[in-house]
Amino acid sequence: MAADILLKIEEIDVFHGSFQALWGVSLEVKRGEIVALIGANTAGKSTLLDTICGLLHPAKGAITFRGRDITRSDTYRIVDMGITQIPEGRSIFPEMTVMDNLVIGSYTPRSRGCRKKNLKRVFDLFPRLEERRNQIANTLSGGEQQMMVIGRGLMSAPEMMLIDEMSLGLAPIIVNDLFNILKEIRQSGITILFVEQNVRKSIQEADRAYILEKGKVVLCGDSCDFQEEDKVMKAYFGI
Amino acid sequence: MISPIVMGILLGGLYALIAMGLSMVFGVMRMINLAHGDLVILGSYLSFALLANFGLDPIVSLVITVPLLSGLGFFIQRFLLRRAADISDEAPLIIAFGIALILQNAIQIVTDPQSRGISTAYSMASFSVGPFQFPVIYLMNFVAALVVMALFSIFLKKTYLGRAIAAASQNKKAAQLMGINTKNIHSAAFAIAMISAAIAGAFLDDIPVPTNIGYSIFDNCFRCGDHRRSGQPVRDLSGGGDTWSGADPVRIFFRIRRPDAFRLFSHFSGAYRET
Repeated sequence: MAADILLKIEEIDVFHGSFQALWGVSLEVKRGEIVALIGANTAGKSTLLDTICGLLHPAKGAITFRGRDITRSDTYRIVDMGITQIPEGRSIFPEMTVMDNLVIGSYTPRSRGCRKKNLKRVFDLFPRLEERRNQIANTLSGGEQQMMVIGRGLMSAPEMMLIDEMSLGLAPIIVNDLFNILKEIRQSGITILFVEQNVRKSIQEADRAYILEKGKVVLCGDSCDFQEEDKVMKAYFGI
Repeated sequence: MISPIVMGILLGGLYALIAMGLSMVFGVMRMINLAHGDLVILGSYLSFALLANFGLDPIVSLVITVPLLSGLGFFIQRFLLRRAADISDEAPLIIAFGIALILQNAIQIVTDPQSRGISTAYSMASFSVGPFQFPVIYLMNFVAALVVMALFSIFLKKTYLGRAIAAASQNKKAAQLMGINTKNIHSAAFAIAMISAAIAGAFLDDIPVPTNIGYSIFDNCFRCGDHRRSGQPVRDLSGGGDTWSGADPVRIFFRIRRPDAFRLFSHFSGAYRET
């Protein structure tokens, strides 16, 4: 079922200056899947997401999305093709209103036409954002900011959503809410690749998982295989 | 006593307009546009030339100078500053400094170093409030500055391009992830800043300006604006929250030269010598 593969990463090496962050990483995401990318700090998870989005370019290897080569494409073209990234650390436009933050999400030519429809969808998912739409973004709570950033990503009418450490610094109850919303987003047909440090939670929520360590994929498979925790522990902590 | 205060406030509007262009470029590109003042003077002398040769009123001549200067701004950003930015962080500063010097001297060669003002039907007119008399042009300058800044505010809030400029200045990575081509946004922001420079230049015409005043205009306005973010014309007007020199609005309106501005300047010129 090769046609079903939405994103395919083959053997990429990525450098930050002279420091090599990713070593021959390969990864596949099928249409409609929810895939977790797990790893400790500095394992290269964010680097991988940034490389998919074209913020970084691999020195070696190839990335294809919907069968098209995007290895050297610019970020704005990749976003218009239907990949959106929810960056870590609630990366908001702090001095704009919630509404303006959301509207800028539909900047790409492809998504401008369906701005109203997408806005309604975001407000249906996050009624809180509708209540606060005229509020300046940096006055929102951490959880609300994360909702806004996810909503902003949805405004670009994505086919695939890359989520970087959604749970960082948020209360567990909010994290649970957000994961439930991810399920809804996935049911609406959006493929999800998410990065997490929380191993147990990730394995629960994902269909499949990849474990990165020091820039290499050390383990991948269906998440039910990961239930035997000692295997994960071994990969994760090296014990 | 009242009269100079009011005149200072009225003139402050023009300075705020110039500062807005500066801070738009700084907010998006993180580059201090040392040539901004000289580009304003270029706009000023262009409308002067159009008046002297074709009898065009400076306000009418905006139809020509605005596209000309914004085109020049686009060219400068696209073909000079962008390339320089790939070399190092300081390189665009040096390019801007070079542009400032070239403009200053070119204008002196083409015209002459005499300062000149122009006379239009309204340049000598005045109006009185109670016992005080004020030149009409000062009021025109102020009103024009307010109108232009209001229009820029609306532009930044209500259009996709404006929002993209504001977004790129507030969070570059997130802006890129929204599908904004930040490189093109830099060119657009520079071109738009030059629109404000052309307008400010035209309104400066009624006040006698020497050819070499560009740098001190830059210097004064640099302290006016809020340079942390683009898209805050209101803050530029009030001179609030200036992270660089702690300028406060009252001082800007009275155009008191503060020693720290000179220190800042010598800091930058020192940086040139080092690089």
